[in-house]
Amino acid sequence: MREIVVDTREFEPPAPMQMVLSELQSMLPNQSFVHQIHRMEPTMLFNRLKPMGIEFIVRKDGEEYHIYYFYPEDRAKIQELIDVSRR
Amino acid sequence: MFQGVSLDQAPPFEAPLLFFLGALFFGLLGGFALFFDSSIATLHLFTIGVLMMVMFGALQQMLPVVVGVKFEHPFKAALLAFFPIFFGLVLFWSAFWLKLSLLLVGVSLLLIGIGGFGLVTLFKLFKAPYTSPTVIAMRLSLLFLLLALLLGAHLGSSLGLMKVGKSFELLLPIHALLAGFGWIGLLIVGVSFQVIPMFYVTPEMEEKKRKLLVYALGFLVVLSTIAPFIHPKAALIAFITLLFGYLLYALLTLRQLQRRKRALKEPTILFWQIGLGSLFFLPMLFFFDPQAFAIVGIFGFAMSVVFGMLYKIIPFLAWFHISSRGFFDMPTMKEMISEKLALIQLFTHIAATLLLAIQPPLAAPLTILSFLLLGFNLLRPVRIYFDYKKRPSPFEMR
Repeated sequence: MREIVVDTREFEPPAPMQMVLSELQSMLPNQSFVHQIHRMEPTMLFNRLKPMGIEFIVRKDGEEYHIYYFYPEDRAKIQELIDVSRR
Repeated sequence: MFQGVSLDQAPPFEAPLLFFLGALFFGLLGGFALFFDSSIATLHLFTIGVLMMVMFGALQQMLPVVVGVKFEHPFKAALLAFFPIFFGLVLFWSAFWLKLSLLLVGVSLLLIGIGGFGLVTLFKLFKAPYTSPTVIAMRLSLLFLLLALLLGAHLGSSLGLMKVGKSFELLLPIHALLAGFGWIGLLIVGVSFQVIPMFYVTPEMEEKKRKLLVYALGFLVVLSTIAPFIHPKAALIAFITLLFGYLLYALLTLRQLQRRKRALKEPTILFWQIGLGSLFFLPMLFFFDPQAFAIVGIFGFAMSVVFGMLYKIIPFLAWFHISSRGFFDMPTMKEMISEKLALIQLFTHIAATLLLAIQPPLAAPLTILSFLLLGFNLLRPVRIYFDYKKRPSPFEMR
């Protein structure tokens, strides 16, 4: 699985949302996922994604949030990748 | 595959916009009223007409985003709350000049509009799928709003019926305390936890600190409400502790703003800094000048913060709704607001606040100018939104 990293920690709105939405357009099922690093939970973006069938997992690490966006069929693989990377 | 974005969760822009426009109207009306009156009648044009209108609009917008719950029919809900509040407040204000018994109609309409919206919002907040310090602050602030409303309705009705009893003098400051430090204050605290890291690229305030602030301020509001029934000294101690609680909040939030990743100066930061800085003067003013205390609390703190938030929220919502329809060629948020004009409005607002604390009629022209500038500055993002709304969405043309 290809990891597309988007570091939005130092960007003001609406840039973080634009950056993630732009990367999501190149995300493919079984092939890639988007990993956003942000300073807070981007709830407004979550609400735009939910009805589109894109899922996400949030992990907090210190002051940073790591948000993983993926297609539903990739959930198990992403979960495993996150667990491995955080060990 | 990527199928475009959806706005299912967000209310239409027109819903919060209705409240924001109402706030502008009452700000201007309040400015004109200051020429001949600075009593509680005109004060409510600013507290209910401006501050509450903006808060209701912001709450309606933030509920789906921050809390994960929404109004089923957001625009209808906005209309159902807006018109009773609008006409209720106009009647409430004019009753003082025309006929005091009109207060009864005004108060009833305010009870329906504010009570209805407050209860529904509170109910939704208790149904929220998860809680956070922001959610807790919102719940508490709405509870205090409903209590302030009931007390206010009692006070207004007793004035309308010309049956002002001994309890009036005791209940009036409690109504002001619940409305100012319970409702407006705690809502600003809760909302700031969300909007400051979002708009100013700062780290989040630690969850422990956020929780502590919300619970401590909420507890101190309750204590300050009950204490006057026990002993005047207890009431004084509780209230002063509450003021210092808000001072601590200001200190922590100013420090958080200092830690922003890009230390660019911009007008909305100044609005926040002036708003939070105003809280430092409250303990001193409380003892020396009660009128200045109220003005600095309402205009220096709450109004400054609300103006700062409007300059961020309205362009962001305009951008959000336009981009959700598939457009990407619209002006950026920065291009939607003239920083120079926002800065001029900030200075006008500061001057108006200072004059209000000294000589209210002198503040009238500057208050009017401040709201005119605010309206002019916010008109551009609204116009851009409606321009794009007329165009067919690129998604529909595919």
